[in-house]
Amino acid sequence: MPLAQFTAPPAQPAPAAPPAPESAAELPVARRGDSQAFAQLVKQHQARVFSVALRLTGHREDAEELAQDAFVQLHGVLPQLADEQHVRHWLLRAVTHRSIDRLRRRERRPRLVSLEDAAEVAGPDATPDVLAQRRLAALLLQLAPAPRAVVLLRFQQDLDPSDIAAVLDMSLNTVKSHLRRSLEWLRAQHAGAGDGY
Amino acid sequence: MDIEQQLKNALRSEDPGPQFTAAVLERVARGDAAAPVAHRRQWQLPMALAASVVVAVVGLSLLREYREAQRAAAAQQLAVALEITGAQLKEVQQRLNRTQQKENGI
Repeated sequence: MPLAQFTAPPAQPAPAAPPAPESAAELPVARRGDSQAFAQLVKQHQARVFSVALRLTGHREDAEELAQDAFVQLHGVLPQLADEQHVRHWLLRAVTHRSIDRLRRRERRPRLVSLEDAAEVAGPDATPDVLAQRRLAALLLQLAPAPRAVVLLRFQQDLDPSDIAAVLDMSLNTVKSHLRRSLEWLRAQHAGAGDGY
Repeated sequence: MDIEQQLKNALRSEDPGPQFTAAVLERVARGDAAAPVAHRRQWQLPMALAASVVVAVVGLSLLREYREAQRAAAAQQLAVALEITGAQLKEVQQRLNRTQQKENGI
C-alpha cells in the first residue's frame, strides 16, 4: 500500500483511552429510549469503536464517521441486544464491516492525499519505542483488509479467535491462518526483511 | 519484546474526543440513518455472475445441439436426394439400353 494512503500521526502519541467503567445498568434504560443512558453507552464504547476504525482505515476523519455510523445504527437495534457483551460484539462487528467496506470502496476510487497527511512526522522527543510502534501500525495498514481486521481484533480488542470468527463471519481456521501468516510477515518486516503478504 | 506485545502497545485504543458523543446524539436526534453497508452483500454480485455464466453455458450447449440436429437432418435429406437421383439415373440408363437393343434387333 502506497505511503500516500497513511494519515500523519500526531507528533505526540495520543493518550490511551482510560478503561471506561462497565455499567450493565445503562443498557436496560437505554433500550427504553433514555438518551442519557444511551450517551453513557456511547462513552463506554467509543474509544474501542473509533480505534478499530482508525487502525483499519488509517484515516481519522473516516474513522470518526464510521464510528458514528455504528452508534447511530446501534440506536436502532438496541432493543434486540441482550447484554453488554452482545453490545460490544455487535459494535465491533458493525464498525469492522463498515471499515472494510470503506477500504474496498477506496480501492476502487483512490483519492489523492496531501503530502502533509502522508508524511510521518516524528516529534523531536520521539523515543525509539514510539517510532517502532508507529512503524508497526504503518505495517499493519499494508495487510489486506481481512487479515488486518483479524490482527486488530486479536491484539487491540483482545478477542479470542472464536469471537473474531463470529465478528468477521469467518471460519476459525481462516482466522488462525490469517493470524499466523500476518504475524510471520509483520515479524519479518519489522525486523527489516521478508516479502509482502 | 515479542511481536505480539509490540502490537498490543502499538495498537492501544484511542479516544475520539469529547465531541464524539455529542455528534452521535445529534445525528440520532435528527433521525440520521447510518450509511448502508455494501460489502456484506457483495456475495450477490459473484452469485449473479455465476448464474449468468451458467445460463450462457447452458444456452450455448442447447444452440450447439440444435445446430447439430439441423446438420444431421440436412445430411439425411441430401442422402435421400442422392438416392432418388441415383434411382432415376438407373431407370433412364435401363430405358436407353432397351431402346438400343430394339434398334439392334436384339
